[in-house]
Amino acid sequence: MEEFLQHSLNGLSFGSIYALVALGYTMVYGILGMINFAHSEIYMMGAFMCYYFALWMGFQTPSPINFTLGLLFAGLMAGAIGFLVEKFAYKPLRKSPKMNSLITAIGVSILFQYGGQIIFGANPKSFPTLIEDQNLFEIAGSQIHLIDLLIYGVSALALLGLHFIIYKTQTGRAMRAVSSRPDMSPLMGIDNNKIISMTFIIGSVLAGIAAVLVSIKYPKIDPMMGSKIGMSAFVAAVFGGIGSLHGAIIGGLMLGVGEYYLIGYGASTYRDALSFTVLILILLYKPTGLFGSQLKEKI
Amino acid sequence: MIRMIQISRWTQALIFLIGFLILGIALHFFLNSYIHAILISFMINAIMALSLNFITGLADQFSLGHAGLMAVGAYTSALLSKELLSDHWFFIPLTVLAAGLVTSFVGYLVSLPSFKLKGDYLAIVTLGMAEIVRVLILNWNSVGGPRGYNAIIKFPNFLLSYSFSVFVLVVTFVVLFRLKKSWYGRNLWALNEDDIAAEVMGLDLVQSKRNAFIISSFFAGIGGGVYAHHLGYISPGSFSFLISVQILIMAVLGGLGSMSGSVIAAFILTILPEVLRSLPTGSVDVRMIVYPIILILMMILRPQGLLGRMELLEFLRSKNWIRS
Amino acid sequence: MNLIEVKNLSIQFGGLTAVDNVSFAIKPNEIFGLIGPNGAGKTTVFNMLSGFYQADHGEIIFNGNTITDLKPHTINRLGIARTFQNIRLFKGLSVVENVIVALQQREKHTWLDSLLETKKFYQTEKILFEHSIALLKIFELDRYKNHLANALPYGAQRKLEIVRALATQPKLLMLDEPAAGMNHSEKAELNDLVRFIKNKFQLTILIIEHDMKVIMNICDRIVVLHRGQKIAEGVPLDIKASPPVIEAYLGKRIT
Repeated sequence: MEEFLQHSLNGLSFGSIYALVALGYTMVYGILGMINFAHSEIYMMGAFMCYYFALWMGFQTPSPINFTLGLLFAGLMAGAIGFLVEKFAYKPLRKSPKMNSLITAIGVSILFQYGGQIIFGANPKSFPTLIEDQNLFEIAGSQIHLIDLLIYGVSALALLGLHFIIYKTQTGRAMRAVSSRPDMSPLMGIDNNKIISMTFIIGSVLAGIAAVLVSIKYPKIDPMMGSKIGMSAFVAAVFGGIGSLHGAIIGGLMLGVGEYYLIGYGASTYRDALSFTVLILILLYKPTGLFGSQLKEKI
Repeated sequence: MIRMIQISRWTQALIFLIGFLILGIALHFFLNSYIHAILISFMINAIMALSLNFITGLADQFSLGHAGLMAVGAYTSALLSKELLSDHWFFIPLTVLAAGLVTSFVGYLVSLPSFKLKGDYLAIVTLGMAEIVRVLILNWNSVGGPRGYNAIIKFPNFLLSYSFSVFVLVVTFVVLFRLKKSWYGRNLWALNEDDIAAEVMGLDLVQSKRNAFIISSFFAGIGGGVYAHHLGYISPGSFSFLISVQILIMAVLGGLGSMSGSVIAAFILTILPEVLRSLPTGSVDVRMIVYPIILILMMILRPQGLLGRMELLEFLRSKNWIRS
Repeated sequence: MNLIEVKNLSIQFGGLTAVDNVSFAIKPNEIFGLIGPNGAGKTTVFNMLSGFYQADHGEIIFNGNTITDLKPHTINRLGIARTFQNIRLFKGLSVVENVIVALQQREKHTWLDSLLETKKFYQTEKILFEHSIALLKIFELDRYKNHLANALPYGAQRKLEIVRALATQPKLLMLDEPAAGMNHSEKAELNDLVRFIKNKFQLTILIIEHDMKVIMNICDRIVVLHRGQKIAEGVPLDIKASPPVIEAYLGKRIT
């Protein structure tokens, strides 16, 4: 029972990360109908931006201020990179066949991975300790770490912020409008380009934040770190129903917890296979995911 | 302008084949083994690019795991010839054919979940499939696991190896080319243009895409088989994501939907890395920098690739460079 | 005996009932109209009849078969063809190829004939081509045969879409707002065209239209939808005089 609780808590913390990254996939898919293969690389860039920021600022001792600054900087830079990628790689192709933007997305993704190996070096770097981890307290024999608590807290805050933007602001309303009828929204005075940019920025900020949280918990970063988490997060998005925000969150949490049960109960070699198996099962039996509405294509 | 005489496709193929053989004999005696190896890898690349082009260019479905299919073919053929067919080069064509069949069955399995929804799910499923194939091979000790599979039977000399590769390439080309020009190719094109209208014409979308992927897988497996018997050594690393990307870029560069384009692009992109080899890049494979840049620039500047959907002769005619 | 029977058809889109308990039946060789103001659910009914949407409730029986849950291509093979409100041609294919694609779904092909370029392959291709040209000729589109479909003038594109639908040899032809985007003279021609098609191909025709003038002249019988519900059914003269229909089109009368 203790063990079960421990695995659940670990799983939830990783699941929150999946949820943050999955949101980026699902938002871009919702608005452009495209799988943004480069999203996982924006996640990776978030971690590296924070790494170099900490070096540059000369962060010596762990402190909540350093942690907050690092988190904000990574989010900001990831958002900027997401914005630039959209502007220079995807936007010129908005009118061309979807295959072209997919190919470009793959190209951008590979370019970041291997360009990163040249610029940052291919070997893993150890991520600076922005904040000291400690055992805060015990619940029913399970230890609660500060870092896990931070992951829960920051993810929850980010999700609340996202919810606020999507459902309570003008921009959010415009985003929902563009995603449901991109042909009609310009007639309502909405600038589609601006809204699409915003979508990329928000998704990328979430990915950047997620990257810093993960890097604090597992302080090894390398230019290929995005691909594995990207696959899992994408599966989480499909699991929840691609295009659905709440689906991405629930999908991420469930996948994270599921993976930790596998690890915890001695099947860790199959961890990587889990997300893929889940994907195949969903596609076979419930292709619209948990929360995805049955797609009613406009005919 | 050059005037072309009208001859049937089969005569063309035959002339091609004979020409290639004469060339092979010449090459056999006059060139070194370095060039020989490049030539055969060109043909393997061309087979793979043609296979991918069929699913991506004609059926508009992305496959990111062609290296995984290639691996299935390579290991199948190697295993069969070593364990079942007494390791004689005479049986290579047979095991390569079997490799194609086994791989097309894998393709069938992959196709089951992939086409339930419209969208690019095949890309993700194939990506995962390639990863699973890699992990399975890594953990399979009797085929060498991570150390790789050694001493696979090869053809005894270049001429045989060359002839076999040419034969496979020509068959691949002709079959896929004919399919493109047949009713089936027209179906695929129609569903590319407007899948909803195509369904209303009575066209079964799922079945058409599924068949396209099975055919594509068959030739990917064949390509893998030829590869195994060409090098005599394969390992999980021979079929990495890099290879999938390399195949993709060949299909895209030549022109999605253009079979002759794929062959031309395969030629260019087999030579290019040999030239790039001299660049100083440390441990990073420089191709993985150059390829994505080519991909991105091409999508922005010339998204249709070299030939677009057209075949070489159609392209030349459209430019009025030759008359028919 | 009815050719198609629609019983209590309903569908919801995320809580909004787009079509609510609609029933009607069409007899063979009838020209049947489905009309209503914008947003009445006409196209949604079409999409259910042709298999693109799955009805939440109700049943569709065509020619003795229940087709409610069948896929679009199967429904087409049973004999229902349709056109679209926003014309959906295979834009990058030539005019004749557009028709060939429709025709070839009924031809017996073998992979081997295509691969080996046998005589049979060329014969089949020739038959498909000639058959398409013959169809195009009927509608005077054969002079465009080698043009790309999207290079045609608007009216010709609408016609081509109808030709393509006819090439699937349907028993029931469904036209979704054929008059949309047409000018006056084209609309007048449409009337003759629809009657001509019905007689020439011995078809039953179901038309969606919101232009009352067009439909009153063409149809034998009409069903009127308003906000997803059937509000009237009958011959054009009765429909014209029906108070709920007038109300639906002109708004509630202030008394």
